[in-house]
Amino acid sequence: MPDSMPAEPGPIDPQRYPLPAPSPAVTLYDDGGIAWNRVSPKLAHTRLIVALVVNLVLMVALAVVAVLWWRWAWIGVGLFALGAVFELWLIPRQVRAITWAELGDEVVIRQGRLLRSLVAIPYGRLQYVDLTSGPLLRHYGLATLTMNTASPMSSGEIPGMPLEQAEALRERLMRRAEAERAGL
Amino acid sequence: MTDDSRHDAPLAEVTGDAEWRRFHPLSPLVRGGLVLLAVVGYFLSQWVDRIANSLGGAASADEGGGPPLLAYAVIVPIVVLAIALFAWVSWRYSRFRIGEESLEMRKGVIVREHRKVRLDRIQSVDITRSILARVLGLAEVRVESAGGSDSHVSLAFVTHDEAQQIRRQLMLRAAAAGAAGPGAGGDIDGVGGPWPVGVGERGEGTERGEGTELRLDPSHVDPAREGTPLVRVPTWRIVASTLAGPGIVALVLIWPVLIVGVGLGLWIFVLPWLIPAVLGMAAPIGGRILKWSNFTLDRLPGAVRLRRGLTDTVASTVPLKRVQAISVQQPFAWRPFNWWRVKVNVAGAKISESEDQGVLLPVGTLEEALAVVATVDPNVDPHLLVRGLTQPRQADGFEGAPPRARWVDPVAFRRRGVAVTPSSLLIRGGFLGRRVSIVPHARIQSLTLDQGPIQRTLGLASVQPISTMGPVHPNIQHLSLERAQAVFNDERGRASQARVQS
Repeated sequence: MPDSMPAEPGPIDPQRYPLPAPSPAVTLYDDGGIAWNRVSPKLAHTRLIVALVVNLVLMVALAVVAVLWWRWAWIGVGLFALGAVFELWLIPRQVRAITWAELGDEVVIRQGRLLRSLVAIPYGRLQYVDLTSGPLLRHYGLATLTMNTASPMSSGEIPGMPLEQAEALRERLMRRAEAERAGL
Repeated sequence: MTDDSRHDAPLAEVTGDAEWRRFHPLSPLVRGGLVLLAVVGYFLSQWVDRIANSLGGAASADEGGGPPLLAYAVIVPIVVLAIALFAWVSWRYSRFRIGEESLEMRKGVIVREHRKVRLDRIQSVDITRSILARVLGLAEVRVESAGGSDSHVSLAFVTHDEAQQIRRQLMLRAAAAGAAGPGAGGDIDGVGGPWPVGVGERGEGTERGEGTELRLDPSHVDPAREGTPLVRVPTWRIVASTLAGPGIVALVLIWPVLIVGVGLGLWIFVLPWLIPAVLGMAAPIGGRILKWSNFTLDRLPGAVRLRRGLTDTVASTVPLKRVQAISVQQPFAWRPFNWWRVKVNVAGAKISESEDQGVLLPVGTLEEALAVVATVDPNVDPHLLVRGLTQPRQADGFEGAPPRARWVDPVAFRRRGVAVTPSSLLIRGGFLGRRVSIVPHARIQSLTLDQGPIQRTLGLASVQPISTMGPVHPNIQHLSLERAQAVFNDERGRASQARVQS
């Protein structure tokens, strides 16, 4: 009877709502006994290149402003320099934080350092899987794999996978998606 | 126009014997009706002014300022003729046909447009009638389909009888096309077939025509046939509930200004500000009232049908299988009246930012809201739902946010909570307003666990069961990290199990 439920907030009673098929539990921090895959460390190179080039361009522009017109612009140059140092520290960590695993029923992806997230996308919900690779990523032999479900809000992304690995994963995902879909 | 029949010839061969049909000849008039009326009205008024002026003797002073009467006598007929010609040509070139597999529409003279919608992708067929269309006995058939923003077709206008017949035909054929094979309806998997009709007949419904028709429940298809009435919202309640929010704001904001203004004798200064303010508030209120008056919700087998509108009547059908998430909510201003609103996410529905999207019940009593929820998802425990909606602070049967969540969510954390039931997740929230979102385990697209920097220092995290696009955004915010992970993992299992069973 729902009326006899405890008034205090507490854990969900497993006896009332038993769960017959336990899949491995995933957690936000530790690995919890799952073999998490990392993305290629080369992803950090591409991201650093982009970030540093942007910073450099802005610094040069501000430096020109400082020399020619307005001395206080040097403050901006200094801030961008600090930003570049912070990026040098942050980006490799962010890239290392991206981990993913294929489980029995779904793909799980963890991302982020400051804003951490863990996404579980069931194979049966996959609509299509995209591989994209810009010129810089392609130079490093990397690609971004995007999984799309019926909701644009629930797409999952694994950036910086080695191309062959990404293609193989896409094949596997599409096969599993087909198989699970057929059962519906 | 011999050349356009030649133009159609190859397509007719490809798609079979279906014939191209024209819209009603008065269509351009209804579509451009207001513009035409305005133009004619403008010229007429100018003309009348002029005649009046010339009679009044002021003509000579005015004559130099504008074109003479004679010019109007020439210009007006030319403009009207040009508009009529344009309308006639556009009518000549617009046509549609319903084939065995698709609905096609062509229009345009210079820029030609050919739109083709596969019948097995059709999501809904609605009949809409503007007031002008109603006067002329016409109606518009709107066909929504899955896939792409330009995948809907509006057949405007045909006679009302024809509209009903087209709707019937489209729904029958959509059902037949959907039954043709399991792959045909697989556009959005796990969210139900292309249409609730014929779902039970799958596998044997490959042949079309009479046999297929007989196996379908006609009440799905025949819009004239009444379903079981579920809710009828009296118009006074629509008016009162619409006024309850903005009306109070208006009173609070405008009344003091008015009183002070009048008291100080500052009419001149107050009015220019007040009139636009009042109009700006009145227009959307009036719009909402016109839109939602005469609201009725009928139960059909496997679907519900909404009908609404004072001047423009709109009827639309929501297949229950396509409902992905339900939200029962109460804006603060409705609390004293115990009124509630029910919204749903419907798979494949047109995505729009309008606040009316997905509304199943614009305003109803708690009992009516519960009846709607029970119709859409009979597995929801009404007692649990009512507790979630009405209990202040923590509700029995819900797991709430821990007290330390006050540092990220100082006010609303008290009401937050989640209940896991065998069939769905119930997520409560709101502080001034109140709300419970219901997401069936079987309808969850994916699951997300998030933790921002402040949440991290407090050891909190949020779980989002992601539904399809729509007005309901379920989010279980600020559980302790440990509980969030437990709910996340538990829900993964439940969703997976529910997917297998569905």
